[in-house]
Formats: sequence, structure tokens, C-alpha cells
Amino acid sequence: MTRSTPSIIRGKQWLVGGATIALVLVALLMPLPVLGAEPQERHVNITARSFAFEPGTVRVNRGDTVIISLESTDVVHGLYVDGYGGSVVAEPGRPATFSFVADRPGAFRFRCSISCGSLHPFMIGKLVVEPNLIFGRSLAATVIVVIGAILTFWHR
Amino acid sequence: MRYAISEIPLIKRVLKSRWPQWSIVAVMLFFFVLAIIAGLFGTPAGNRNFGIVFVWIVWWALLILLLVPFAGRLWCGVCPIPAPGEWLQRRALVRPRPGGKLYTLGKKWPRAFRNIWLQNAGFLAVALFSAVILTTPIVTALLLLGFMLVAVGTSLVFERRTFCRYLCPVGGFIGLYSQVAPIELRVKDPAVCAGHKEKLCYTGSDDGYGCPWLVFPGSLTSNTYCGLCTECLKTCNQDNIAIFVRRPGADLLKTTGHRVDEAYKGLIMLACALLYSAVLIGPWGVLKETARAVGTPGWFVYAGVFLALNLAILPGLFWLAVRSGQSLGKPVANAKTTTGTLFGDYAAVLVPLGLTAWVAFSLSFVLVNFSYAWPALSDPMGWGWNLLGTAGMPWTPYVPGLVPVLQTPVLLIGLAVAVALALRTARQHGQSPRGALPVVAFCAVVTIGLLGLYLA
Amino acid sequence: MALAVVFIVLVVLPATIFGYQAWLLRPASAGVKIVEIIARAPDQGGFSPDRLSLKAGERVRLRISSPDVLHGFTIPGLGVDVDEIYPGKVVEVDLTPDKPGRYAFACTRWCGVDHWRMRGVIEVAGDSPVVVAPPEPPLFQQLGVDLDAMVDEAHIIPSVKPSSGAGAGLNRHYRQ
Repeated sequence: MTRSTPSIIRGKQWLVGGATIALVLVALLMPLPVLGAEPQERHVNITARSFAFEPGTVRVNRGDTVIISLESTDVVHGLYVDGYGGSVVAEPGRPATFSFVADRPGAFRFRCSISCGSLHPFMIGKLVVEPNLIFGRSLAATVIVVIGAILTFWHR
Repeated sequence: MRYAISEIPLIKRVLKSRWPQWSIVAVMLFFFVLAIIAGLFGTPAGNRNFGIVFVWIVWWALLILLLVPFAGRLWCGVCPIPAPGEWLQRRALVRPRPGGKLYTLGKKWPRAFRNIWLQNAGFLAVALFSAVILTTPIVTALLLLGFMLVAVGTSLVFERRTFCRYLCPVGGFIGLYSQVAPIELRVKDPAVCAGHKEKLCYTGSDDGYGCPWLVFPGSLTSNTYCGLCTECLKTCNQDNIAIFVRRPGADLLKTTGHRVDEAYKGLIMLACALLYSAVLIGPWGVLKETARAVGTPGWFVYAGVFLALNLAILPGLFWLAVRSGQSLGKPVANAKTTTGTLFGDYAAVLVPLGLTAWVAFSLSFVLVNFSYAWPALSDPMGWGWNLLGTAGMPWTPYVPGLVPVLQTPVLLIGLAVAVALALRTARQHGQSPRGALPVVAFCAVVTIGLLGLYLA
Repeated sequence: MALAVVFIVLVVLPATIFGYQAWLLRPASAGVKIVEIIARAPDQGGFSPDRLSLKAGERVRLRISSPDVLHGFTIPGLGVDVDEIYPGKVVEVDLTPDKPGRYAFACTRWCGVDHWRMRGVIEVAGDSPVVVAPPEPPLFQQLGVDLDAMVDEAHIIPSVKPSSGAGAGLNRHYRQ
């Protein structure tokens, strides 16, 4: 059995490494047909108190029309959804609603948009629009990176 | 493969002259004092207070996203915290006193603490109380003031920059992560140092002081303990010191000098990144409130879990990975290496893994909250000023939809480098590559955990 | 030279900050009185100060700020209504109370369970004595109706019959 010379090893490494990167890009960027449940109208009641939203995580399906009703229980709070950009402000005793169509799948943080005290910048909740392709893709990419890196750098 | 960027005439002039660097330090000191005053006397509303906004959002973003990954410990070279102490110690502001004489009691730091354990403890303490520190201006101000007073005191009692070398919590982790940076300060030709009797770079001369970090530049092989203060560059009369541009992460390829305290620093940083990502930017309000309610029974439980994760659980899991790797990767040669040595050597993977974890975590709150910087510039105290006309600018999250898109590649790059390092470590110890697989699994699980916290 | 810079940073900077603020708050040439009000959540103290003493005809600038949550501010008697005191932002209200009297001010944005108790008083003193107009007499007095004369035989007649006099006695009793 001939021993591989360093240059052959190096060449193999570039090949495997390049293939890994290509596969990762495919996993992250390749458009996928989205199969999901029928879009429906979802009414979500979110209660805001210093410094948390209840429920902390909201799950909807892609295409749903999400109607968020924000209710503050102690002071004035707001709600701003990353990625969708919608926002609303609610006073205690006066719930406010706003709605949007969840056309983008993934996980989006929503945060309080009215200064409500010290932990205000960390008053955060999560909106998950199923199917959460982004997470799935990144998981696949992680597996590809691990295997690819092992293959690229595996040699005695 | 490296290029001596400090040999470029303009850069060399700037580095050899003391005024440019000193001016930057003075400007940093200005902002530092402003932050302390704003924290002590300004509005308690954190997002309208210069102290909170410019320390925990602006400075932190610059540090972890730009300075550390691309310029290593450059911040240490311009940091204002040790500056007053150093000026008192040198009894000089800019031009050095002859012979590099220092006016300090000059005590040597106790041998038992000549490691980064105190810095690990300091970082853990700040991290444990971070829910309060990051959101309460007066606490931030007292913390900064405390650092400065300790630095001044240490400068007058101990030698040189003992504070920076053995006490500063920030220095603990930027030292470790600076190994990733593409620049380094080294001697050009070690033979010149070997033949040079006086070693002015360490003892000091009329041109400058000996290395404040108590490091002998001639033997520097890693960025970890070099603060890029360029004192040695000014002092060396053999023109043998230079700042090089080099391959990123070259320091991680070193085969010796892996210490347990540094390994623990890597584990602590990783554990804190995981904890912060769950507690501070996760959707679980109960965790945040518990983290802030210092002194309550719930907080003691939180503190216990926090410390256990940092000091026992994550290190324990890593140790398990190393140990099982030891059995899996039956040595190719007849090598006898202890688990302890392997633990320290494999800990190199924690550097790229941890740095990318912190970059990803920081991206999630920096871009969203950076717009607080503009009103803070016009109204640093929250007293209703409008110096630059920007006091009314509203909070505008910058590209929040882009954050997940940035976090994923960053984490994957860190993972890839970590896996490569793990396999290399196995090879170095004569293990079969299989021996690296448990550590690879550890890295993969941590990455998936972080991705889950950010994207699921 | 370097020493001058250090002096500037360590001494002049704090002095400038406080000096600038003092200059901003100085009574302007035409004699404006500046009053700082801090609006805290009621369980942290509410308005501070919650009693103001002003003079009739005096030009006053109120600087209201909040260190914690969103508050509102209103002085109904003087026509002042601020919708939002955002934490960390200072709101300035200029007013010139001309009629002496006592004016209440209150918070108008829900800031906690005791939001309704978050109020204060502005006492405006003037040369003319404070004239508090007596309240209008109740309608039955205006119409000259004698309540005590309206007797319906009750099933049980208490020994002390209800009347406006007896009611007034109750008030006195409770006021103690």
C-alpha cells in the first residue's frame, strides 16, 4: 500500500472541505417546497408583565393570519416582532391588537417596545412559524460540517 | 507565514512615538469617566444612560465582534482602567523616566495566584450578577470604579501591570481568545535575543519600561499574555520586535503550554454563553426574574445551578469526552499521556467554539439595541440634554431578521475549526483519530444547543 | 501637556457635566422658576416632590422625568396634560398659574397597582386671599323641602330617627 504524499493528502483535504462547504450551502439555501397545514386565523392572547410575556413561546403555522391581543397586567408594555416588524402598545386594562400574516417560517423573537423597567431589554418571547425550516436547515448543516470536518482532517 | 506590518515606515513611527497611543488612552479614559458619572448620577433608566449603553452595547460589540477576533488584545493596549495607576507608578504620563524606573512597592504577585484562576473567579462573579449589572446604571458605575481603584492600588503595591496580568476578568477571556487573531507581537529573530545580554525589553531602559505584562517578549509564542501595549517595541534597542500579520488562529497550533486554568476559562466562557443565551435572551421570564432577584431563595438556587454548570457540569462532561476518547483512540505509538494533559490540550477546541458562541450571542442583542447609542450621545445623563440633536431618535432595531442568518454560519465556522483542532490534538498524542470523536461530539452538542436556543 | 489632558478628563469633565446642567436649569433672565419632579412608580414613592408651593403670576418650568416606567402627568386645574413621561426622557412644561388656590396633579398612565394614588398638590399663593367658593346648597334645601317632615310609617321605628342633622352628627363622629 503506497503512502499518500503530503500533497495528495492536501489535495484530498481541499476536495472534501470544498464539498462540505458546498453541501452546507445547499442545506442552508436550497429552496424547499413547504408543506404545512392549511392557513387559518389564529387568535393569540399574550399577557405582558414585567418582565415576561405569557405565553413565552407562540407557535403558528406558515400562512396563518395571526391576531395578537396584547394585555398588560402591571404597566404599559409594547410588543415588537423581529423579522415581521409589527408592533403594538398596551395599557393595563386596555388590550391592544395587531395582526399580520406569518408568511415567513422560522423562529422570531418578539420583545417589549416600551421602556418598562430595568429588565426591559431582556423582556423577550419567541414566535415560531412552523415548519421551522431555518432550524432544520441549520441542524442539517451542523451534521454536514461535523462529518465533513472529520473527513477532511482525519489522517494518521 | 507572516508579514511584519509594523515595519511599514508610517506604522513604525506611530508605534515608536508615545503620543498616538497615549491620546487614544486619554480618549478612552474620557469615555470611561463619563460612563461612571452617568451611572452614578444619571437616570436609572438603563437604555437612556450613557454608562449602560456605551459599555454593555457599544464597547462590548466592538470588543467581541471586531477587536478580539481581528486584533487580539488590542483593547488592552488602549484600556483606560490601568492607566491612572500606571501613570502614578511611572510618575510620568507620556515620556518615560530614565531607566524605566517604577515608583511602586514592587511586590511580586504571590506565586499561588500567578495564573488566571482569579480572573476566572472575577468573570464568574460578574456573570452571576449580570442581570443586575447590565440593567442598573449605578451598579455598572460602581463596578467600573471598583476596577479602576483596584488597578490603581495594585499598581502602587505590586510590580507593573499586575492587575491586567492576574486580576482583570476581561483580560482573562480576551487573552484566551486573542489566540485566534491574525496579528501577533513577536521578536523578529530569536537568535538576536539570545545574544543580547541586557534584555531591555524586560528590564526597561531610557527609552521605555520593561514589559508591563511581566512577559519576556523573546519567548512569546502565543498572544495570550501579551497586551499589545508596544512598550517592548519602544524599548528594544536591537530593533528586533515587530507586530506581524499572520494566519488566524496560529497560536492554537502550539503543542505545549496548555494549562488547566486556561482550559477552565474556555469552559466557563462556553457555559456562560449557553446560560446567557437561555436566561437573558430566551423566552423564559421566570429565569430572568430569578436571575435579577439577588438574595432571594430562588436566586440562591439559580446561583447554585449557575456555578455548578460552570465549574462542575460542563467541565465534567468535557472531561468525560476526553477520558472516553482516551480509551477509544488506542495510541498508535506507545504513548503514555495522562487524562490531565489531554484535558488541557483538547481544551484548545474551546477557543474557536467559545469565541463564535459569544459572537453569535452578542449579535442577538447588539444589533437590536445599538440604536440606543444615538440618544445616549446627545443626552448621556438622561437629564434632558440634546447636545447633538439625536436625543429624540427612537429605538430602531437594526436588521433583526438578519440575526439568525448571521448566527448560523458563525457557529458552524467555530465548530469546523474545533473539530479540526480536536483531530489534530489526537494526532499529536499519537492517538488514532477515533480518540477525538467524543470531544467532537461534545462540540457538536454544544453547537446544536446554541442553535436550538437561537433558532428553535 | 499630557497633564493638562488628564486634568481635563478627571476634573474638568465632571465639572462641565454638573456645570452645564446647572446652567441649563438656571432661572432664565425673565425669572422663570425651575422645578424638577421625579415620577416614580407609586410603590417607590410616586411623585417627588408631591407638594409644590408657587406664587401667583410666577413663570414656572416643570421638568418631569421618570426613572422606571411610563407615566403621565396632568394638572386639570391649570390645563396641563402630558401624555407620556418616557423613562429617561425629561419633559418640560411651562406654566404661569394666575389664580391662587390648590391644584391637584396626577399620573395619567397606568404605572402600577397604586396608580390611582399617584398624585400631588400645587399650592399657589397670591396677594388676594385664597377664596374657596362655598359649594352650592343641595337641591332639597334650594327647593325648601323639609326632609324631616316627610314621614312614612315604618314597620319598626328606630329610636333615633334618620334626619339630615343626625347624618351630620355621623360625619362628625367619623371625622375624628
